[in-house]
Amino acid sequence: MSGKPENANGRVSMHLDVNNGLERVTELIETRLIESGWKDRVKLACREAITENNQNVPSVDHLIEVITPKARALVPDAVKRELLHEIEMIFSNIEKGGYTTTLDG
Amino acid sequence: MAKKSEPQKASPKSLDVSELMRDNDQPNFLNQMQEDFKKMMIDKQVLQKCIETFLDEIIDQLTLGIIFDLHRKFKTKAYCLEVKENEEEADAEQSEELPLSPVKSSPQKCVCPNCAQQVAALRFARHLAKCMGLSNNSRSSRNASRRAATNKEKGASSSSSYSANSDDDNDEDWNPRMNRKKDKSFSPKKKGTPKRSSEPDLAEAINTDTGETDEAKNLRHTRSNSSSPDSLSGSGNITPKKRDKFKKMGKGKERSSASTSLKFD
Repeated sequence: MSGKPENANGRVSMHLDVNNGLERVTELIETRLIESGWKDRVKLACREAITENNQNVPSVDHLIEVITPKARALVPDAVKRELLHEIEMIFSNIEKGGYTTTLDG
Repeated sequence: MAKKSEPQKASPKSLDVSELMRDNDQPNFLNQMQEDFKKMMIDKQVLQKCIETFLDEIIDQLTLGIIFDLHRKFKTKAYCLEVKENEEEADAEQSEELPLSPVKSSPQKCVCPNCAQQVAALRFARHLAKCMGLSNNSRSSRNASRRAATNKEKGASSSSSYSANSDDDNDEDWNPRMNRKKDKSFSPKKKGTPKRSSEPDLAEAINTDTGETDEAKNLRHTRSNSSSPDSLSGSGNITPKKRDKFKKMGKGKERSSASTSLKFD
């Protein structure tokens, strides 16, 4: 299908962007994660990873390899479930209200 | 050809919807998106998977932001400054909290060096001022003067046994609570009564003193030859009845002097 992104992430973000909901959903996710203390925990994990080697600060690639799986695991299950449910509700609202047929800007 | 090349260009992150919609090669873009949306919403499992991957992707983006930020801070040594500031703040908070904690937790008691009583630390200064008679309060100074007077009298009467003295003190005057109760129970008019009661003792003491030095009094009496009551010294030649009269006169005078002294107070 033409214009359709290959992966699921692009698909969802495109549909949200067309319906002017991508920014709102991104803000919602970030706020909930900060409120749950996820950001502080990830920062702490980062500091620990950096201070493991006292002499040299590790490279960004090394940090990404180490921290990314940890960060995914650190998301509280309740928050993740709530966010999934809320995004699903947004999609159902788009379906009920009708998909956007015009471009706002 | 343009349709085939379109998905390659439209990578998920670099995809600009407005550009695609304005593209003349994609006139039916919104209709296609709508169809895709309907397909996605029909299958709930696919929708949930898509949303989950979308959520993970946003989490990864946030994580990347945190990693870049912290890495830059460590590289530029800006993080160390932040840590030092935090440590200083924590030290300042501790120093503010420390002096307050022992006062709250432990009520300490001090032993008064004067009366050997255990007094709470907060009341110790006040107690010591009262006990030593240094405070401005008139009651305490009176108490202190009374104590001093009783000490002197008792020290003169029985100077041999110090331990007996201390026991007597504790029984009569050295208990500050008893004194407080007495002071509270007495009305201001009645305050003068103990002084009056103590005055005859003084008069008797004077008389006894005069009795001891008879020769000197005789000398004075012979010089003055006056019959005034001031000449108590002439007790050596006077009969016991006259002595009593003189005593009464002396008491009356002393009472009047005591009243004047009260007025001065």
